[in-house]
Amino acid sequence: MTLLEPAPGSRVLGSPVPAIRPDVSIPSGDDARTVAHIAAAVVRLTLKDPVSLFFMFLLPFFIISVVGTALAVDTGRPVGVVVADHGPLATRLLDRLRHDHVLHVDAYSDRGGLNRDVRRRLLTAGVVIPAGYDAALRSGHPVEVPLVVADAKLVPEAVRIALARDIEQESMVVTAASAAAARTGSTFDHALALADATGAQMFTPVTQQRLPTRTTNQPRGVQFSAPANLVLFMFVNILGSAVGLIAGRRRGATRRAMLSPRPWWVPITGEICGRAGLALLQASVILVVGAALFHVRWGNPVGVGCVVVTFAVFAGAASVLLAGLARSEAQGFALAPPIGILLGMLGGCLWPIAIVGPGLRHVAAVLPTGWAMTALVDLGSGGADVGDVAAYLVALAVAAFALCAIAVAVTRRRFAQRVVS
Amino acid sequence: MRWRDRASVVLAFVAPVVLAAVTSLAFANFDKLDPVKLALVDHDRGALSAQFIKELQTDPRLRQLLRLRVVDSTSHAETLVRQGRSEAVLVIPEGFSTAVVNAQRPPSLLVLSTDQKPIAGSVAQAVAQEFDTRASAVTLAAKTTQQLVEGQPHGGVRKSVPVGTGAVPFPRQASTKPLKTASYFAPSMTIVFLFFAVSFGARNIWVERRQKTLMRSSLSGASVRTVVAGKLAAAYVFGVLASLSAWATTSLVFKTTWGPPGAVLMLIAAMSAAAVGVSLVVATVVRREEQLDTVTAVVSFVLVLLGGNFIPPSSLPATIRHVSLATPNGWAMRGFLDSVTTAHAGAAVGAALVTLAYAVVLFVVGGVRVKGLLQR
Repeated sequence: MTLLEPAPGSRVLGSPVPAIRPDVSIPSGDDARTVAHIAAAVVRLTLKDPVSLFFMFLLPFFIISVVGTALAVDTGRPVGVVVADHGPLATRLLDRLRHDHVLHVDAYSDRGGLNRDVRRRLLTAGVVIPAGYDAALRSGHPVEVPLVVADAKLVPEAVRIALARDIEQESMVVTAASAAAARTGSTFDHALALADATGAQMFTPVTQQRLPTRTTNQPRGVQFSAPANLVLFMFVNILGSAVGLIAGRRRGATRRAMLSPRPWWVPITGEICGRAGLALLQASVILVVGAALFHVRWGNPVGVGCVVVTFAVFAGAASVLLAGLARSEAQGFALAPPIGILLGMLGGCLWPIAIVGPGLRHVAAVLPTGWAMTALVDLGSGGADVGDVAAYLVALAVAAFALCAIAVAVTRRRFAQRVVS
Repeated sequence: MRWRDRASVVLAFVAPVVLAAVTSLAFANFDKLDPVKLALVDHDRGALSAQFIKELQTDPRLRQLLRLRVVDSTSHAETLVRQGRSEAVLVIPEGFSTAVVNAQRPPSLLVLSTDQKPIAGSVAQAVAQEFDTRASAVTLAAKTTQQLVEGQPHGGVRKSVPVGTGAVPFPRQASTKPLKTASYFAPSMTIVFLFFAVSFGARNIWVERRQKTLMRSSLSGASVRTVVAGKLAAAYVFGVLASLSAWATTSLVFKTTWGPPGAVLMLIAAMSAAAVGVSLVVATVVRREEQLDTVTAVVSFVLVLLGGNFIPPSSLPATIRHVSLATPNGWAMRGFLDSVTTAHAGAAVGAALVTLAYAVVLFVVGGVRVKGLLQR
């Protein structure tokens, strides 16, 4: 959507490619006002489009919510359980698993079905309580409880620990009762009742502490998904808005704008500022709603504001540059999503950079999406100050300025040309 | 004509190949379970901790999991972690063995880890928990024995019975062919781009509608539906070629397994048809040409998210976990997973047929609506 769209009923000029006035006048107050008018119009026209509103202001929250849940401190992870032993001890273990808030237990009748759903990634993991479980525990013999996984590394840390904790705690009580009963000649059930009562006070959970490190902290849940989708959607949406500007080129609107009494750079700058404004508006909504509804800690507001502003200008310039380079709307649509998603992916917006190899980490370190993402994570999860992310801010500002200069230079002639659809 | 359009070539071949390559690269080392470098600080220096350390050093299962380094102090261990020479620290506190032997509640074990090595922290936590639980079982057995003896007028410990090992959780693969992360995300990301790659077919319908060339071509005797079918067929061929190029690149260059060729071809054929069907329905639903790209992007994003292309269904919120099967790409992913993990082409037939059924339904709906679009 662009101000450079022709007004209804306007007459399209039939002239060939117009000569662009070479004068580069000193920017005046009128120029600045025109830039502001164009930018405001870009924002206003986009906000009138309900589909754009959905994509800019609703879809990000849906994705933040889904991805945040996927990466959250775990609760209700789906785990399948096959109970091949129907003794009371097997039932006790099943109950313990069912009462664990980390797990959501689905009962399976056979191992084949359990394996299939773990393979299909419908279940995080599976547990098989084997036949003979009861007898082995009562007699003090070891028994292996298979944990069925598609890939051990894909089982979330909390699920792994919860499963091991539940099985081992249950085992602790039962084996203690079994030994005590054998030592004293009491019945196993009596010993188990006593061990149950004592065991509840006995177990001391292992204390876990995180050591502070110099490198970026690894955020979880919405602390990752909110900044990741802020960066991704700002970039993908604004880059995608290039298609509207290409449509303006096709209709001759950009040609007319370049022939206006204002200097040639005014309409281009206005389009960049308008797109940056849209990106800022989108970012503001994500920041506010993210904090209010999802309890995202964004960190130092000045630092976050600087990251968002510089990245918004970068995205706006990238969009106008794409609109200048693409030969048709089809090309614009063909290029915008792949470029946006690819840069987002490489910058660490689709998965945490910490899990990828060193090669891709180096790639993230030289991309504006990577700078924005790292700075936001450092500010939000790492408690960094503006000074701590200054290097990223400078890099983003330089990249935004450079891309603006390139976009203005490249689009100067291209905007004066017609495009084919 | 599409071959002459460089952007289409980018979208059809370069984008999926680059995307699948990045995915393969990103997860290339993800599945390697290297032994965790664990620093152990023994402040206890008792019989139990000595036995535990010996077990860690000699047990084949634990040796596969851990590379142990016993150090004198916690600060030394922390330094090792900061230097990257250790990934996690396990501290056995002073008095641990004494507490267990005296049937008292032992002090808590401490695991130190970093956010950069969550797996190492998790492994250290599991090892500590197993040790703590076994030690606690000894204490608990002693206490329970004591309570039983106290409850019996002529009771007493009749014999010395050691506490058994009990239940040991042990990881087992769900299939003979383990699922590598890259094998999940390579086809998954290819499907993501398939939705965008084939959208030009439906977009051309709008372009020709605007230029009124479609109605003119119908004067030649060909029905409008035939012309539209031709455009969609071109998009379909493009989608298939794009997917094949991603499959070839990731398989040959990055050794990523997609499953038996028969299954992969079936699923690519079905999923490409479904993606074209989605683009056709979207094109007939939107009211203005300007909305087409945005709605295509929105629908594609929602479908790939719900279908498990970005996040596997097991990690999705419970409410939308089973929605993946309401999407054609969710079924295609199921087919890819079945074929990779069973290495049997037949395992993907059902999923491919359901994906194809989605395509048929989408074509019928789109076919019914397309004439209305052209007459608007």
